[in-house]
Amino acid sequence: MSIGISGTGLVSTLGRGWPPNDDTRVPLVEASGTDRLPGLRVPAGTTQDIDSFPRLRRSGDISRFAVAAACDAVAQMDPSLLPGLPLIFATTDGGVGHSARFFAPVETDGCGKGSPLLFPETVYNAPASHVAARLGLQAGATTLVGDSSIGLAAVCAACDLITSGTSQAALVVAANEFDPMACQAYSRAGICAGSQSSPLPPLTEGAAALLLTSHPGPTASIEQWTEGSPIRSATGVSASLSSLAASLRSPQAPHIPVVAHVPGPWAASSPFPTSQLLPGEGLAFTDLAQLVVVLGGDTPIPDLLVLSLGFHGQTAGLRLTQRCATP
Amino acid sequence: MTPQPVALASAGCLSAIGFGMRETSDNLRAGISGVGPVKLFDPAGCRCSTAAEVDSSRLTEAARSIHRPAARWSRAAQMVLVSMAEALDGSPGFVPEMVIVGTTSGAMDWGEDFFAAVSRGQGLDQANRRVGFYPPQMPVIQALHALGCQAPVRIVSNACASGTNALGMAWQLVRSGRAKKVLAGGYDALSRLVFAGFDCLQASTPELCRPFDANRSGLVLGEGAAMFCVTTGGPVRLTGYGAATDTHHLTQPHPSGSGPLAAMRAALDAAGSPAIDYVNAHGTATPQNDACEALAIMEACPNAPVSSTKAATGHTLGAAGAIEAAFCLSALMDGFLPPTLNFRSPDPSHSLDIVANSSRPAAPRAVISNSFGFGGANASIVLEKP
Repeated sequence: MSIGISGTGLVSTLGRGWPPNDDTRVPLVEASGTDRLPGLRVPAGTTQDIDSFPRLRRSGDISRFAVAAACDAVAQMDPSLLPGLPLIFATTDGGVGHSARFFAPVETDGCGKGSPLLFPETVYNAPASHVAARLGLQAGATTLVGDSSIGLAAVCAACDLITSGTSQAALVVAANEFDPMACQAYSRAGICAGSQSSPLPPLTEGAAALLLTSHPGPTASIEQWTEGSPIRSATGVSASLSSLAASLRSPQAPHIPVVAHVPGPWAASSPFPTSQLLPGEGLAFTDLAQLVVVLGGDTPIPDLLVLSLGFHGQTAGLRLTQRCATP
Repeated sequence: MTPQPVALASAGCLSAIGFGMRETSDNLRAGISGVGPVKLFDPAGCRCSTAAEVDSSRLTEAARSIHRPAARWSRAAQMVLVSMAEALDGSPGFVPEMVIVGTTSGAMDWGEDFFAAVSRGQGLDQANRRVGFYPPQMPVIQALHALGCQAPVRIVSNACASGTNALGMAWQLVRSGRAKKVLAGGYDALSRLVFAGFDCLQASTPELCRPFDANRSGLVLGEGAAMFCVTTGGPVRLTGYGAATDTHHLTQPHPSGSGPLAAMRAALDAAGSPAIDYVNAHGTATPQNDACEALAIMEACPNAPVSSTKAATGHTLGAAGAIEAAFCLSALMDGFLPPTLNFRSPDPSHSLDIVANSSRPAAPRAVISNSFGFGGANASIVLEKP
C-alpha cells in the first residue's frame, strides 16, 4: 500500500516553507548568547501568524514551530476532516528550554521552588497538545521521543496507523528547539558544534510536518517504510544502514539515490555520505525537514531512499516515489 | 484486512507494592500500600512529602542478578530490565519485532545531575558520562542489549496515558498483521523535577491519596515498570483500544468527561462492546480528574465495579497504564477486583460502585483500563479472558 504525501510544512532557520523566500533569508550562524555556543535559530517573526493563539502564550519555541508547520501541512485539507485526524508528534528533547528554566530554582533553592506556569510545558507531549488544540484535532495524538532518527520513525508509525485501517490520514510533525544546556550535552557527545571553530554542524531548531493520506499524494508517495534495531557501536553502522537500504529498494529501482542523516559520531562509518540539505543538526526535526526540502526541490527525483541513523543508534528509512513534472 | 487476534502472552511488573507478577498480585489483593516518606531526595519545601518508591537496594540487586553491569545503571534502566526480563522469561522463544514503551521522563535523575554539574561547574566527568543515558529511549535500549534482543524501539510519551498508548500501538500492529510479536509496556522513575512539578501545581497531596472519595485532595507519585509480550495468542486477550484528545486545557480535562468517554467508547467499540465486569480507573484522586472520569464511567460502564489502584502504587505516570494493565491481568487470572485504598466518604456527585479498601472476590471476564494525561491524552484498553 502506498501512502500519499498530501501536504508539507517547514519552519527552519531559513524561515517558513520551502523553497525559502530570499527576502526572509537570515545569516546562517548566530551565537546563542550563552557561553557563546553556536546555534542556528529560527528568525523572529517566522511564526507571527500563530503567536496570538492563546494556548501559545506561555509555550516554548518548540510548540510555536510545531503549530506553524502543522497549520501549513493541512492548509489544503477539508477542515471538516480535521477532528478525525490523528497526530504523530516526534521530538528529541521536547520543551527543553522550559525544563531548564523550571529546574534551575529547584536545583538551587529546593524542591518547593518550581513554577506552576512552566512545568506543564516541560511535558513531552505539550507541543502535540497545542497542535491538536489549534487545529481542533480530537483523534489520538501520540508523541514519540527518540534520537535524531525519530522523525522518520514517526512517519513509519503514521504509515502503520493508516495501513492498519485505523485512519485514512495522519499528520506527522517533528520539532526541536535550541537550548544552551542541551547544546552543551550534545557538543560534549560529538553530535554538534560546541564552538564556532568546530567542524561539526551547529545545533539548530525548527519543525517539519507531513500530511499523509491513504490515497496517492499530489507530489509524492511513500512506497515502503521500516525501522531498524538500535546499533551498539560504530562497527555496526555500515551493516545496519546497508541492510535498511536493501530492505527498502525495489527490483525496479535497485540503485536509487539516498538521502541520509548520520550524525557526528557515526558519520565516518556510514556507507552513505551524510546529506545536509538544511544547515545545522536539528535532531528530531532534521529528517522530516530533509524530506520537505526534497519534495520542494526544483528537480524532483523519481525514486529516493531516505535513511536515518540517530545518535543513539536508532534507525529508520523509507522509499519515496515522486511525481515528476511533465516535460 | 482480516483483523488478527491480539493477546498478552506474559507480563513482568514491578512497583512499590511488589517485584514480579506473583508478589504484585498477592500484595494487590491484600491491599498493601507502597506509599511512604520520600527517601530518594529531599522534598523540603514541598507541600507533599510522600511517594510510592521502589526499594533501591532490592532493585539494584534484581538488576544485577540479570546483568551484572546493570548495578551501575540508572534506576529507570534497572526497572525496565527487571520487568522486561520477567515478561520475556514468561514467553520462551519470544523474539520481538518491535518494542513500544511509554514513559514521561526517561532517566530524568541523570539529566538533573548533568544540569546541576554544568550549573555548578563541578562533577562534570560523571555527569558527561551519564547524560547520554538520560533520554527516554536509552533505558529501553540498554535493557534490550543486555537481554540479547534486537528490535526497533518506539518510545511513547503521552504523559500519564503513555503506557496504555504503548499497549494500544502494539495492539494496532499485531491486529493489522504488520507485526506478530511486540514487546510493550511502560516505565517511570521518580525524579526531583517531576516531583516538584506536580507539587507546585498542587496536584499532589500532603494527605493520603483517596481516589473517588468525597474528600480527595490529590495524588501521590510512584514509580515502576511493566512489560508485556503481545502476540496473537495468550491467556488474556487485548481486544480493544481507544484514544482521544481533549483540547480543553493543557493540564485540566474538560469537566464533561468527553475526552475519557471518547477513549472508553472507542476501546469498547473495537472490542465488540463486551459486558464490562471491572473498570480499572485512572483515578488520580485530584478533584477534577476523578469527577470527569466518574461521568465517563457512568456513561460507558454504569454498572461495573470500579477501583483506582493509585492509592497503593502512587501515580506511576508513564508506567501507570502498563502497571494497571498488569493489575487487570491479575484480576482476570487470579479472580479478584483490586481495592481502592483510603476510601472513606462516598462522593455524592457520582454513583460508582467503588471497590473500597479491600479486594473483592470475583470472576471477571472483561475489564477496561483507563489512562488520562496532561495534554488531553486519553486512552483505554479492554482485556478479556477467552
